[in-house]
Amino acid sequence: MESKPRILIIDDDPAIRNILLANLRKDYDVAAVGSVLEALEIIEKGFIPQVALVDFMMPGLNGDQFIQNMPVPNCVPVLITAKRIDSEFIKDMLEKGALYILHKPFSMIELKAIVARIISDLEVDHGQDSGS
Amino acid sequence: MAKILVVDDDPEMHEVLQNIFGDEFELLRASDTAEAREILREHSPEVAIIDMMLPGENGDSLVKNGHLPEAACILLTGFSTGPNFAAEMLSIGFLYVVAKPFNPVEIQALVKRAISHLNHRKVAKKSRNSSEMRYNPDAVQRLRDAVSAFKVAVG
Repeated sequence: MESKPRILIIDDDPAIRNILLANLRKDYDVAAVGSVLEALEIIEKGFIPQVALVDFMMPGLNGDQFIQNMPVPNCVPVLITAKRIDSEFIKDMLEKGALYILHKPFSMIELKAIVARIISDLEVDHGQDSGS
Repeated sequence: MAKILVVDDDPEMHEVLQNIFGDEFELLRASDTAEAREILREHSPEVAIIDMMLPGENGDSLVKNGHLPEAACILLTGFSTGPNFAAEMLSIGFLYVVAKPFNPVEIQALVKRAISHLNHRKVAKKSRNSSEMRYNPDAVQRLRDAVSAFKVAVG
């Protein structure tokens, strides 16, 4: 039986972690941690995520620093932020590697669609690059 | 030179996008989905920027009907984009939904990120298929060093 896709949540707010866990664990193998340091520990223990949902503002290192030094090269990062989003911020975060930037409070419907979109992108083989 | 397919019935929008992307990309222009399908018979653009409201068929039908399986597709829409609409468009295959009027800085960054995502997608799919998903110890160490530096800085 194929294992579920893995999602890593990094957010210092336990309420946000719990909401995300409750909404995602049915379809995904989810790990939720409260800091970048905890994220590194779980990754080193072998939890290699396909998608990372990363809070922007955290004690210690911010989410954009994690994304910029993405420790899992093939993992796709989604940045979640309460900061006011303007075009310069979006540009900066996209250039650092975030694929999406979501504003808190975010829509769970939209977040689930984003995660599903990324996972299907990684899994669906459109044929042209298969067999190479 | 990478190609961007622009599907919009507003000639001004074509000019705006030409000004933003013309130096770095070859722009393929269509004013409706029928013209777009004609272009797609001969070209495989890396990115498609598609207006939602078009004469005849709406823009989302190009993605919904599988005409752009390899491209990163960006939907432009003039009406309010709630989370349900965005979620629906993502589920049919769009990468981004962008409300008009858009900021040139933002759409330029989205297109560049979309192209890097296409490249990443190819690598990641191969890695996943061959169980090569792993972490980068150098990046982990850089982050550990940054955490330590932060701790020292705040005492």
